[in-house]
Amino acid sequence: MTMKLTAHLTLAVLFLAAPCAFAQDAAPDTTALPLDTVPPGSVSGLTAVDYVDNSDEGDRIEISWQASPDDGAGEGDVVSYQLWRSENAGADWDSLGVAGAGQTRYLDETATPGTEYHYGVAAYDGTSYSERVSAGPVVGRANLFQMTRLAVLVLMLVFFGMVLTFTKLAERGADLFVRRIPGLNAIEEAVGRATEMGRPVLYVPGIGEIDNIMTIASLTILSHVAKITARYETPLIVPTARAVVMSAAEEVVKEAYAEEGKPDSYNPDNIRYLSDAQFAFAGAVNGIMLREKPAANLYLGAFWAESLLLAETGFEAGAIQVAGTAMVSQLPFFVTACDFTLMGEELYAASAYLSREPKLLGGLKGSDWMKVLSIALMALGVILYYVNQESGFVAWFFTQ
Amino acid sequence: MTFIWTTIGALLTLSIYSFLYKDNPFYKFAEHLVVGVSAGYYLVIYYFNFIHPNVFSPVFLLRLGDEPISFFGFHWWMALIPGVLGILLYTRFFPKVAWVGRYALAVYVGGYAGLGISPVMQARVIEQLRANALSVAGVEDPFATMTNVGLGVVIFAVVAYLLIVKRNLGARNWLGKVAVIVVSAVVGYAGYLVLTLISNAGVVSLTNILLVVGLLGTLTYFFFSMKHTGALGGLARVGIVFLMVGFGASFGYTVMSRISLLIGRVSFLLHDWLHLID
Repeated sequence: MTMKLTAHLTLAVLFLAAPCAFAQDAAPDTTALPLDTVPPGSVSGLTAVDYVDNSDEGDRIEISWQASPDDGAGEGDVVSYQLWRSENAGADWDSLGVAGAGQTRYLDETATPGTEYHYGVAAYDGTSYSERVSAGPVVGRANLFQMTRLAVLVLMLVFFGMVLTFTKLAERGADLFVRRIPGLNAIEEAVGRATEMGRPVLYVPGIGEIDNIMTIASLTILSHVAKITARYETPLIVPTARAVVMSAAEEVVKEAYAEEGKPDSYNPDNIRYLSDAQFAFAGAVNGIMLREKPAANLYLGAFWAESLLLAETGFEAGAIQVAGTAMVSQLPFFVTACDFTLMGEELYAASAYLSREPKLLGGLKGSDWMKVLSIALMALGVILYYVNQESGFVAWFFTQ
Repeated sequence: MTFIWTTIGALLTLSIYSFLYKDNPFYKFAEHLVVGVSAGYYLVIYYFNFIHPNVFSPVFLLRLGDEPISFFGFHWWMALIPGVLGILLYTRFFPKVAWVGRYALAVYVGGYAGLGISPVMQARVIEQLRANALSVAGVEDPFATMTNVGLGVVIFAVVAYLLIVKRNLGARNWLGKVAVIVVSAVVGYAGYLVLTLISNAGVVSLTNILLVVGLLGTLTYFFFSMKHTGALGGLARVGIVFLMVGFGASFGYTVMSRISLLIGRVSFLLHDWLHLID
C-alpha cells in the first residue's frame, strides 16, 4: 500500500514538474530567437463550390486552394490556414475554422441553403497571417438529382422494365414457369394432419405492419391456407399483432371461405388482435398453442426476436410447424425448430406461385432475371479489373 | 414503495418463467396482464410519438403560437393531410364507405415503397456487387492459420460430398458411409490444396473464391424460373450449404445475446429484488 502511494506521488510530482522544467529550458532560446516578421506567402487558386454528394441538402460548401509557397517549401514555416466566411459580399468576415499545414481543402458544413457566401483563406506562420485571398459568391443548393446515383437509376429502370414486361406477359396469359416450392407441399400436409386429428390450424402472419412486403406475401398464402381449411372445415386461428393486419386478415379469410362455398364456417372470433408489444404477443400466442392445441403451426411473415419463442413452444406442443420469413437473422431459429422453412424469397415466390397473380408473377420473374444480370455485372467487373486496373472506365464502374 | 414494485416485477418474472415447467394459472395471469397493459401502453405511446408531434402540435400549437407559419419547412396545414389519411383508415368500420380507407393505405404503402427502393438498390444490390467483384481480385490469403485451413477442408469436403461423392457411391451400409466420409475428406482436401496453390501463386485469394462461389450458389438457389436439376441443381445445393453455414453462425451469435437477456433477468431477481449479489 505504502509502495503504491509513494509511486503515485512520485508520478504526480514528475508530471507536474515536467512543464516547469521544459519552460525553464525553453525560455532562454525563445528570447534569443528573432521574431518572424515576414508574413507567409498567400494561397492561390481559391475556389468555393456547392458540395455535391449522396446526401446533399445544400448545407455544404467545399473550399479548396493551392498551398502557400511557404507551406512545405520556401520558408516552410506555415503552421495552418485560417478560413473566414462572409454573408455580406466580402465584408464582415466571421471566423469559420482552421485547416492544418499541407491541407488544401475545407468543407463548410454549416452553410444555410440558398444563402450567398464569400470565403477567405490566409496562411498563418505562428506570428502573422498572409494576405487574405477571397472567393465567391457561392450558394449552397440541395440537388434534385444526384449524378452519383445514376447507376441506381439505370438498374431500377432495367428492373422495373423487366417486372412490367413479365407482368404484361402474365396478364396476356403467357405460361410463366415458376418451380414448385417444396415448402408449399409441407403447408398442405400440415393442414391435412390437423384435419385428421380434429384440431385447429394456427396461422401467425408475423408482427410486421401491413406496409411490410412480408406481411402482404403472408396474407396471400393465408388466403390459400384458408381455402384448404374451409374445404376440410378445420378451424383456422389467426393471431395478429397489428390492428390493420387483423382487419386485412379478416377480409382475406372471409373471402377464402366464401370462395370455397363455406361462408357459414367462417368464425370472426378466430382472427384475433393480441398486442402490439412483441413479447406480449409471443406470450399470448404461446398460450394459444398450449390451450387450444393446434396440430399445425404456420409462421409466415416478418418475425423478430419472438421467432424462437414461438417455434420452440410449438415444437414442445408437438405440432407440425412450417415457417417462412425473409428476416435473415430469424431464419436460423425457424430452420432449427420447424419441420419446414420457406427461406427469404421463397416466401414471395410461394405467394406468386399460389395466387398466379400477374403482378406477383411479374415481380418474381423480374427479380429472377435481375439476379442473372447481377451475376453478369459481377463477372464483368472482375474481367474489367484484371484487364486494366488503371483504366478510367474501370474506376468509374467500381465507384458508380 | 420501490420494494413493492420490484417485488411485483420479480413475481411476474417468475410467473413467466413458470411456463418452462408447463402452462399454469400464474403464467396465464402474467400473460393476460402484459397483453392488456401493453394495449393501453401502446395507445399512449402512439399518441405521444406520432399523433401529438406530427399532427396535433403543428396544427394546434404552432399555428396559434408566435411562429405559426412553418413547421420543418412545411406549412402547418400540410400536417392535416396525413392526419386525414389516418382517420380514413377507420372508415372500415362503416361498410358503405370502407373503400375510402384503401386510398390511405395506398398512400402509406406506395410512399414507403418509393422512399425505400432507391436506398435498397444502392445498399443491397450495387454495393454488394461491387464488394464481391473487387474481392475476387484480392490476394490476401487468410487461410494461413490452422483454423482457417480446417474450415476450408470442412467446407470443401461438404461441397465435394454433395456434388460428387453422394451421387456416385450411394452408400447404404456403415462401411459405405465411412467410405463416403473418407472420400469426401480426401476430395475436399485435394480441392483445398489446388486452390491454395493457385492462391499462393498470387493469382487469386482462396477466401474470395469461397465468397464468390457462395454468392453464385445462393443466388442460384433463389432462382425460381428453372427447375433445379443438373448443373443448376448442383450449384443450388452448394448455395444451401453456404446458407446453412451462415445460419449456424447467426444462431450461435444470437443465442449468446439471448443468454445476456437471461443474465439481466437473473440479475434483477438476485440483485434488485433479493439483494443476494452485489
